[in-house]
Amino acid sequence: MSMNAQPLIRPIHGERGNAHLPAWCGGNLESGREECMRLRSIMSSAAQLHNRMGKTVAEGVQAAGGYLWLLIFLCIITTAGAFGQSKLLIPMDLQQTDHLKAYGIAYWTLTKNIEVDWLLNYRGGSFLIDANPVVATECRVRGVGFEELSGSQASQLYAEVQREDNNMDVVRLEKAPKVAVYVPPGFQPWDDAVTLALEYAEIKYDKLWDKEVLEGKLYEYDWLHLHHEDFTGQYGKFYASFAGASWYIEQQVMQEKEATRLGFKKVSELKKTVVRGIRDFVANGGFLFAMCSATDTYDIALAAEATDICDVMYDGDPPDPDAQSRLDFSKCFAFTDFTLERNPLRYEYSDIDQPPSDLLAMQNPETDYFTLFEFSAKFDPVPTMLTQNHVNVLKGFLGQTTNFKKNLIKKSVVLLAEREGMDQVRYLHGNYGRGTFTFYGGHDPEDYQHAVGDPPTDLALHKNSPGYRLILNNILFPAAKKKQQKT
Amino acid sequence: MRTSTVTFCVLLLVFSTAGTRSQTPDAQAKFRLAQGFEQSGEFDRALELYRELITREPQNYVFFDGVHRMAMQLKRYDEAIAVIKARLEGLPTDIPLHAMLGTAYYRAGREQEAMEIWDRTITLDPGNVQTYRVVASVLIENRLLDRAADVYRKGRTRSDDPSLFSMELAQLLAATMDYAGATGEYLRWLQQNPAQLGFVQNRMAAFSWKKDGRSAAIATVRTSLDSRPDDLRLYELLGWLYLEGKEFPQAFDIYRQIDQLSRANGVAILGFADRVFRERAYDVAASAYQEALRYQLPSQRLPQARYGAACAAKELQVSVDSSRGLTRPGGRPTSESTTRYAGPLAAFAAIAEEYPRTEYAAKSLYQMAMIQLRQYYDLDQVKQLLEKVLAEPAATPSLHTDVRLRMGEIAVARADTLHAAEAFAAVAATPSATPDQSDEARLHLAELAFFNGRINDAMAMLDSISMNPRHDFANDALSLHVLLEENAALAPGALALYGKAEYLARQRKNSEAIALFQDLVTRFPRVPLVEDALQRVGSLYTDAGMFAEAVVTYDRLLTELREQCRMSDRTLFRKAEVLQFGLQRLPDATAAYERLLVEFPSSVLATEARQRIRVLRGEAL
Repeated sequence: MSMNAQPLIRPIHGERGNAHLPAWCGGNLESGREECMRLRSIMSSAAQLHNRMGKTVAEGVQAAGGYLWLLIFLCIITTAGAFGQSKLLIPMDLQQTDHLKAYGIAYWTLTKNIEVDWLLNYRGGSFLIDANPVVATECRVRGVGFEELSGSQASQLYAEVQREDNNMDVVRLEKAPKVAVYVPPGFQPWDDAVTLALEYAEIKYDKLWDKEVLEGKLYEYDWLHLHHEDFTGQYGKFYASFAGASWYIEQQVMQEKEATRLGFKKVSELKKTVVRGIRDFVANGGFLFAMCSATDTYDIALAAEATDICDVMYDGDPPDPDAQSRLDFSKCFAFTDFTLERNPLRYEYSDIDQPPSDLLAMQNPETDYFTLFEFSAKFDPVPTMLTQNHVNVLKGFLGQTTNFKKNLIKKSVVLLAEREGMDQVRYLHGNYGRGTFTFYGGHDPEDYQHAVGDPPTDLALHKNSPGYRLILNNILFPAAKKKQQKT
Repeated sequence: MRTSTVTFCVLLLVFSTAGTRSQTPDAQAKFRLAQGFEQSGEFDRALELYRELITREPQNYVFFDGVHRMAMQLKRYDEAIAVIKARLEGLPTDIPLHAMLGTAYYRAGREQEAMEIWDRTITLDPGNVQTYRVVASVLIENRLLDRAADVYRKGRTRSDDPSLFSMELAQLLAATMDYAGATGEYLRWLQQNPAQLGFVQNRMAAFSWKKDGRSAAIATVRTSLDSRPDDLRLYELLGWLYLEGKEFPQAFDIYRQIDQLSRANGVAILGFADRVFRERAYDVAASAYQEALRYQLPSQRLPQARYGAACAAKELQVSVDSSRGLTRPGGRPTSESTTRYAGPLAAFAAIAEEYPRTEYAAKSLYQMAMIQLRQYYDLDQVKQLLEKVLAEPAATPSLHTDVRLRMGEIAVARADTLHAAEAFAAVAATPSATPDQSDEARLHLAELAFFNGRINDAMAMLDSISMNPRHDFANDALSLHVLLEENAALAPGALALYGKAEYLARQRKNSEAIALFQDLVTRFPRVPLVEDALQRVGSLYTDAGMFAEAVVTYDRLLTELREQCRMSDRTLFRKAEVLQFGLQRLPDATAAYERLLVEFPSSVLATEARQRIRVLRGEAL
């Protein structure tokens, strides 16, 4: 979130019976009643004035009484209006026809300056929007299932969600976040799961790269996504398999040219500056989401600020022989005490990644699952938002970085999902400065082992993907502000 | 150049092995130990041992290489520089050593000195091609690709060979995405090796598939053409580049030039026309065929060209017709006053007349028959033409089978059930018939049985169809099977009436067919077949261009008969289609599609309806 961001949410936790009320009522029933009381006193003063104008007290009381009945009538109308506002409920449980486009609808609605309520843990993290024929039509056109609720049904729903004994809560989303995706220009021989999700959900985003990061353009956005990037400057460590491939050569040349153009002798030095730029963006309130190799390489690049970990085929000179001992883990976001992979021909960066990339062939997709943790919607709304899903156990999927070794994760980081029974974490979240970061292992939630050159996944065939939902949870999350926790 | 390379390699071998042979046992042991330390990553200890060894035997290349390698690995560049300089005292003109020294300076961050050393290295033996190769390869190792290219160019300038280092430069420039430069080098190579066009195309394919690569290559080739306007190879390369990018009009211009330069008399243009016809660029193909025909083509090519031209003209018209959106297979016939297909018909007729007893004659006659059948529905003409095809000795067996199928179709249209059944049965029994042809024949036989009220026979024949989803007629067979199965027991009288009405529709007696379908609705108002009948009425009205009547029919299904309809989503979709493409009432069409989404959100047609709404909204899909 930019430093000058306007408040994006009106917190409604703790306000009872908060059906949608007109603005002049203050937006909820309590303040509506206060407003009625204020009006009554105004009317009373009017009656007295009427009196002073020469009318008898009796006539004045009679007139005030008439006004009072009018006032009561108006209050009834007003409070009746609280139950008259119908809603559209977009369920996110197994009833939903297209979960991924549902996020798109929520985002689209926000861009139309219509608020959206995210009902955490209610039917898979459903959305509630004021009934609006335009929204309803858009849902139909996009194939998103929805239900129409009357005003009273909506009120009951709010009451249920906000009951103290229910692990549910309501988060109001008010403004569509500005989304940026860090991606180099030109052809990539692999697809990007996040841009796939954004395209499918029809969520607008901008692309930016090193130059834009160095120019400080990140601060124009609320949310930054990183996918299959290598911030260590080792070109994805594809050297062993693809050193002679034209795409690899071009990629290396392009990066070297860009580094030279921006005043860096090495690509690794440029990338270190870029990660520091991203770090500062997060520290100043930005939201960062990273998947696959962008997760560990980001932290490795931060830790290796004062050393050279790249071998000669990557940066023209050998690595620092004491590189491992020169890593500064205090600079990392999520990881600590990891050991670098020094072999330049091995498709791995460190021991953070589990299982190691050269053992992926031994993974069995039939038994590869990970489990989402459950959080308190009322006390931990952020991790709750990030783990909204219609299932708790998700199919695993591999990537250059698949899972994170548990004992290499900093204690301050919140674990969101893990591979049960193993020392492997799939999904985590943490704070840095005024901003937050989320790391999600694996490459493509609907392609178990995506290889270079494989065609991109067609999300129209996976419109209910739980794995992709986790990505899209991160898109909406910046539109919600963390609420005050009860003490 | 080759001799000096061989000499260099021999010398290298001699000196490297000489070093090993002259070692004492102690030295050998130390050397192996040093190698062991190196392999295990203990570079410091390896360096120490290599230092000891070279102190004893300063001229030993292997020990020198060990010290150098370890010093570089440990980034002790000063030490590496020192050991190289020490060796250079004994070998002052050693080119690789000088190049190595430059690398050491460069890695030490002393870039200016490194450049000066490399420049000086070249001056040591500027007449030797190998000098430039060594220096360029060291520059490439250090990722100084632009300087490496400069060195290659310098070497070329110094030599007498204008194509020296062309391949190296081409690859280097392509890797650095200087596609124009890379193309220039490949052209240089091609000029020296004109028979190597295929090789060059193969190499250029690495970047010609990319828009910017192709654009740069085209610009470079065009520039070369300015100075060599008669170079056929350049035109061929340019034509290939345009075809790669599917820029067919531009490619056509080039192939004109190719034809002229090669004095091909239209043959090159004909080849181009065939190529773009296969790419379905019918407009360009048609023009190309016409142009080829203006030349004095060899006699054996003439029928090919004429046939191609006629086919392209026909396909062009078909694609115009189908772009209107409401056409269905066997759609409404063109009125006799329409002359859209007159040109292709005349062209095919001329081919058949002028090239009798050839494959082109047979195919031309068949094409004419198909135009008459699909566009003009002149059954007499069709029959005559098909008989001529059968009489053509050059007609292939497959063509014969197709003709028989069409004969059967005509017989059906003329209510000649007997001859129709004979024709289809003959095809079904033909061993050489393709699976598609066999399935079509069986489907038509089943339909005939249905038209004649022999429902069980029809279903038995349908069972024999392969139902292979890749075959064209599988869907039609499946639909008919479902229709018969659902209604045979429930409403046999209505089904028989339906069959008769459908038979009339096949004979293009649409008014009678519509009347009979509506009679079915009147006589059997409660049977499920009513919906099928009225939908068929709607489609018949649509085929006849009576769009308002079609909408009224669909509305009747959606309102009055809604309760008993099971396929209301399809009815609504068809109504929306007619509103969109027939009546051009776009807001009403949008409303109809939206209504489908409201009332039938799970319909199989919902996805298509959504796409149509998006198109109507003007949104890019």
